[in-house]
Amino acid sequence: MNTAISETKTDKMIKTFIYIFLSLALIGVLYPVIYIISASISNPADVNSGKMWLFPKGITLEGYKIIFENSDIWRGYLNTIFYTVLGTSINLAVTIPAAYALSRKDLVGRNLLMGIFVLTMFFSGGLIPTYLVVKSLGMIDTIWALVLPNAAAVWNIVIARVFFQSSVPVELEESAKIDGASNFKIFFKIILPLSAPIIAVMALFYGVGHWNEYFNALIYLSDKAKFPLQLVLREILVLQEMTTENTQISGSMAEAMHSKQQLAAIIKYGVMIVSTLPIIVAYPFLQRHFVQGVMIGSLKG
Amino acid sequence: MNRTFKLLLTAIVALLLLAACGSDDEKVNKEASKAANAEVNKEGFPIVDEEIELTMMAPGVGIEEWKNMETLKAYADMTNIQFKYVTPPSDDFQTKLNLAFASGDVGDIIYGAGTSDLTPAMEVDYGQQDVLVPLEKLIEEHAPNLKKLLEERPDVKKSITTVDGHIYSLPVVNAETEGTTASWATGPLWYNGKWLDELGVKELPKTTDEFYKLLKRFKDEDPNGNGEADEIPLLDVKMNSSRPWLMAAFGMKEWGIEENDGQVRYTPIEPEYKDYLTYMNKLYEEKLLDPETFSQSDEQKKAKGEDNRIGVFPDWFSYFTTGEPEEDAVNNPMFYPLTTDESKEPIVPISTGMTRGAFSITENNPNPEASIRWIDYFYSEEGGAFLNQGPEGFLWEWDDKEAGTKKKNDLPDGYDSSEDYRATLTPDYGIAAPALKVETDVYGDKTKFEDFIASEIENKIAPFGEVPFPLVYLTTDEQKEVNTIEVDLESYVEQMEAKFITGVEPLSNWDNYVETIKKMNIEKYIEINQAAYDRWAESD
Repeated sequence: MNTAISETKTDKMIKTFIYIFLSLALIGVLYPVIYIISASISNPADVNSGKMWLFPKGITLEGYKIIFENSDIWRGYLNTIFYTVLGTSINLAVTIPAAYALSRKDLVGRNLLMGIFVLTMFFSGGLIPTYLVVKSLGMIDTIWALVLPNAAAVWNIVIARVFFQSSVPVELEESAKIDGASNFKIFFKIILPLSAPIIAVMALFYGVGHWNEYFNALIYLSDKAKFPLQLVLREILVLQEMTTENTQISGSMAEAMHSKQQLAAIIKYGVMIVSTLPIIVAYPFLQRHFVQGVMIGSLKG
Repeated sequence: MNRTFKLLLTAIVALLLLAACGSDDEKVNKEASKAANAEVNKEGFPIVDEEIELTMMAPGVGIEEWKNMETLKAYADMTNIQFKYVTPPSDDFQTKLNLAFASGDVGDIIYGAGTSDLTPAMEVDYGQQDVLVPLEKLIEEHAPNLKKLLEERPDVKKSITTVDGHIYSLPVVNAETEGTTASWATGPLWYNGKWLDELGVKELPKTTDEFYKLLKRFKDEDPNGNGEADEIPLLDVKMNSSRPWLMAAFGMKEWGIEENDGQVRYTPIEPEYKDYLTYMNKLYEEKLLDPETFSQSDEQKKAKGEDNRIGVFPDWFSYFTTGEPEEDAVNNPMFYPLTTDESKEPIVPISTGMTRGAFSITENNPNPEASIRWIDYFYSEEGGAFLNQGPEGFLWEWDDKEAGTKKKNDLPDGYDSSEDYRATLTPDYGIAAPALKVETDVYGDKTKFEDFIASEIENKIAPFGEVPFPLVYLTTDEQKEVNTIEVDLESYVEQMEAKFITGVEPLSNWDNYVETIKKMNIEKYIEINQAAYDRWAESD
């Protein structure tokens, strides 16, 4: 019995198995992406009838043409970029200092404060009370309704706090203090430069959240000029149920639905690509921080 | 240093706590603004001498901002009543409306919501909470057109008066339902005209047996002539659009509560319904009904239609599915109502010709009299046409003003159809805009297709049309009970329909099925609807 050879055999088998498994996983992940890209430049009739299943068929750029000519989509795009940049900046400005403060052992009432923070993760005011608060703050139908109510996400504060606790040595702060640095100086001059990974992670978490956000916009905004991209797309793509019971539809309504449906069929896949492209492009650059940052937080928590 | 930090934090916490205790002087504000009831002219225009502004909440279809619509601009000039329009997209209107009600910020007028967004239950609920203003007195004193309409059409009055005797919401009323698409409860079924020609079918099936035979021929005789057996004789997305037509063949008007000679029944437990399921099961087993019926999307259906693979299909107009130009759609005949040996009279369920929940005045409204006068004009024939077609000079202009004949203007550049253009002029497009709907074709020349539709309706729907169940209101208690029963009932019946048709559940289990539904308190459900019907029938 030659164990060395038989081991290589097993090794080979396992290796083959791993490769097969990974290839399948790759196909599973890649297929929808290729499908959507192909569908976005194919004739919608071919897509819907199932004739187009991998490579584009009846190539047409009509969908993209309509998307690029649709001013609503572009306005929504600009709005979303604006909300994402502004919202994420506010998120970071609130989350990072809060997390740092909570990470300091000499903060009085630290556990109580943390308890209050965490409590909100489990109990929230609910939709209507939140709406009423936003309303009485005069933020209805303003951009502030989208960026202020969710300025701090407790979960992210917890992650950032753990990061500060585990990766910034207390000795560093102490030595800075001995040199006469104030708390603010320590934060800005020492802590911030050290926390690039966690800032990147937080920015991505919050940024993706803002990018995909539509529910708050749906609830708080009524001015079309302020709609973010997701809401514009929802309006174009999500169709009203035509056969609502007891509701009478007229010929003109049917006609309106029909033309809306045709438009949706043409641009559906195109807008998927256009709307996710920025995130797809940004992701590889942040991914390094992303994985690393979350790991740091979770491992030593 | 540490102390400052502590102090700062304490201060912030204290501030936050203080902020939580808000003040509620909002109510006072509301009362104050309510006092500003403007002087309303008894008749004619303007309605008020001194301009007022109200807030209107309405579903928008997203084609044009309401403040830019020519019809509304012209009407604001006529009446001296300006509006601030809050128009969330119609798909999300229900969410927004509920939020608005919950927060008390619901505007002065709710316009064009329709039954699906401002449900009868909501009317009753918010009416009893005084959030919606009762309209009957206002109509009596300030709305001559509405008053006349309700006197001439007692069925309308019956259907909009809630159980406590108040009217909380005005309907869309079709002046004439007979012979127009307004009579359709749902889009009809259509035959593929090319296939009928191919097979030389001269007369459309009139019984379920003949229908079965025709579907069989569609399947076997390659009517699309491509040499492949890819024909789908009958197709639907779920059964929603074709069900009413096929159930009617077995003598049922509604998939749920219906009324016959004052007797209310729930059709999905009746023996006729079993016959319907048996028949559909047969079609499914022999692949005459599309095997993908319960799984496909609307787009897939259309793709099949454009490929010329369907024989019989539901849609509002046939060319929506076939993708043909409108002119060619006259070759696709409408489904002729079927009969069976048990149910020899053809029936077609038709619409009540009304949509409720289209116009309500809220408690916030400082000028209810002016508001009811504002809407009243649209319930005259002149006003209804004005709302639908806009002011002169856009879609139309006077051909002969004395004789009242109009002629169509040329479309401005950038619009494909006059409907597209109309959608930028008036809110009466795609929503339940409260008005008396009159025949909109005022320009004489009808297209070939319009003539075709009219004659199809006259031959195949009008003679057999029956309203399944009138529009009724339930009391709050009844509504609660109905809601509880309906939740389980509806999903169970829907699931079982699909299972019976596809054969997953054999029809020998029919008795079990009926038994299960009986356990869901169906007796009570029927009883409540019977009571509601009786109230409706007895009211005047």
